[in-house]
Amino acid sequence: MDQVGATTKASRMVYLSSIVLLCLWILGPLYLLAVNALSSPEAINQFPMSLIPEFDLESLVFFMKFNGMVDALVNSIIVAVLTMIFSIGLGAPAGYALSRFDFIGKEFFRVMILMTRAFPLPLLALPLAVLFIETGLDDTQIGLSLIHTTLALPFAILITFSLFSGIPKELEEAAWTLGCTRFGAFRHVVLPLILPGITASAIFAFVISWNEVFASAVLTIQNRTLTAFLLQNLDTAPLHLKFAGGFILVIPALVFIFAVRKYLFAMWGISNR
Amino acid sequence: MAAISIRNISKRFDSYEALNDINLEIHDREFMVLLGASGCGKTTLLRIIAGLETASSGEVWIDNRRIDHLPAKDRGISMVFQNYAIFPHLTVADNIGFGLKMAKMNAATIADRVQENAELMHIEQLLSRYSGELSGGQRQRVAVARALAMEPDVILMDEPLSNLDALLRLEMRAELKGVLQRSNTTAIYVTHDQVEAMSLADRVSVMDTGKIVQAADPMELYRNPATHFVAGFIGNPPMNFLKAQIVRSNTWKVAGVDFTGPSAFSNELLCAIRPEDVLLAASGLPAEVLMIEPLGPHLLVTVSVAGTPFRAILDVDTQVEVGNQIFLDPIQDRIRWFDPANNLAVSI
Repeated sequence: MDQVGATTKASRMVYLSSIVLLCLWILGPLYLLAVNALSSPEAINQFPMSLIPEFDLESLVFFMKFNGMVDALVNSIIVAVLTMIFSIGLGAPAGYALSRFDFIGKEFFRVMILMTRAFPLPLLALPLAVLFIETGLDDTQIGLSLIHTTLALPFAILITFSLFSGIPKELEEAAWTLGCTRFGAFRHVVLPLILPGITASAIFAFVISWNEVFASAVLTIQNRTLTAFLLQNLDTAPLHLKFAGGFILVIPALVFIFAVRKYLFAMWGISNR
Repeated sequence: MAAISIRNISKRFDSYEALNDINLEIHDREFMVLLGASGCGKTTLLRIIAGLETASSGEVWIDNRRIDHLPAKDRGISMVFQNYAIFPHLTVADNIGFGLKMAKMNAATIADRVQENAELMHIEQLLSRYSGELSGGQRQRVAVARALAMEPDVILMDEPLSNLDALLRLEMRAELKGVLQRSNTTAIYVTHDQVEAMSLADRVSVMDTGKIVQAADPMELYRNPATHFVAGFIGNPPMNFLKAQIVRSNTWKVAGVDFTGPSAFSNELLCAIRPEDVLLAASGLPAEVLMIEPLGPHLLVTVSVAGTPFRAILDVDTQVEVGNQIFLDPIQDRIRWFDPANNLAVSI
């Protein structure tokens, strides 16, 4: 009896400490980032530095005034919104088709969706850059958003696929027998049911684009996104500016992902978390 | 008016033949039950009538209208699904009124009809709830109310009671029967439960491997099964079959006993006897008792008659024990005969 108690107690300790460790792994750097972004430049450079933020907005204000920073921020938002529209516009119908229709090559298609993530972007960057220059898409927001769409699309398809699969076909059929066309049934029954999930998947696409740095750095020169802009200025920028930039980058991504985490679980079939 | 005519309907899924040349006439206001084991094609047939599945060949007519090319919404049918299919994002009232709203009726009419049908199904106190807040039985009531609110020519039901627990099923069965008798709709009802079929139907169509083997009113089906399959399917337990050898023109020997049967046309027949149609007697079919199951109202006794297992329903006070040698006397005019060559019933 004691032994059993000891074992469960020990395994519980291991369980708890791994949770704490994982949380520290993520939250530690985030906390340091927040402390530094919210401290005055002087405080950042002093040693030993304080672990309690001063809530001094000087760094953030300076960051916002930094030449080109606002443009980069706007670019980031535009590209992310375009990515969001493209990946849902293409991904949701694909997800619907995968969950509702049987077609030749369906399984192959599902594997291929994941395979698109198997090619590292750096490998594709040079040919893509050449292609973009030839077609005139280089250094445009729409061109970059197309690249980001290819990154976000697999997730958009898989998330919407699982969302549609979670809606019994009988609901649509019931709507048909109650006087709906196929489109009507979609609009009146399926759409209201998946709208929260679609929103989540759109936000996820937004975050993917928002965080993406490699393609942005390679494919834009004038129209830098925030990530590319920060990367470019990393060497020369003063420390407090880097922290402020990092902070601005991390916060929206973090908030959005936290808001939609339930649906991201759904993508892997664990919908009841 | 809504008589349904199903003509030469076949359905193939790749190489598998789900329905094989189905012909069925369903009269106006008739309650038709499609009865069969799972996989016999009954649900497929219902879905073809509903327009949720397309037949490989054949025609479906409602009155003088051929409907098999029409989408579900234009067929004048409504359907109750096995798992209810209540829209989870709408209240009970909006669920019941969904079809009416799609038909662009005015709000006052919709509200009236919703109220009327909710009262009919005794769910008027649930109108503002969502399906997540309802029990299985309540959901089923919503599904029926939603179908009835459409005032359809034909109402189709796909095992609507199979997800309910036994007591609730009994209650809903009686209620459904009453509600549908009062409404002037033709009903087609799919089930694998023969008691449900017998109790609800004006006529039952027994299906087996994609064919309708017999369509008749419940008592006729029970008394005069048209085929060996129906005799062995209907009844709980179903009919017993014993081999019969010809003695002379209309006399057949079953387990050493002579019975009057059909006029001779072959040397061997199957003699079919319902379990409740035998009496314990001093003479008759010799039987050895193998097992006794007391079921409350009666005893279900499994015996061996000339090496063939045979089940008999005897009075609960009957004194028998396992291993006893007894005699079972069948009620003569309830014995049925089947030809083992083609499995069809042979009349006397």
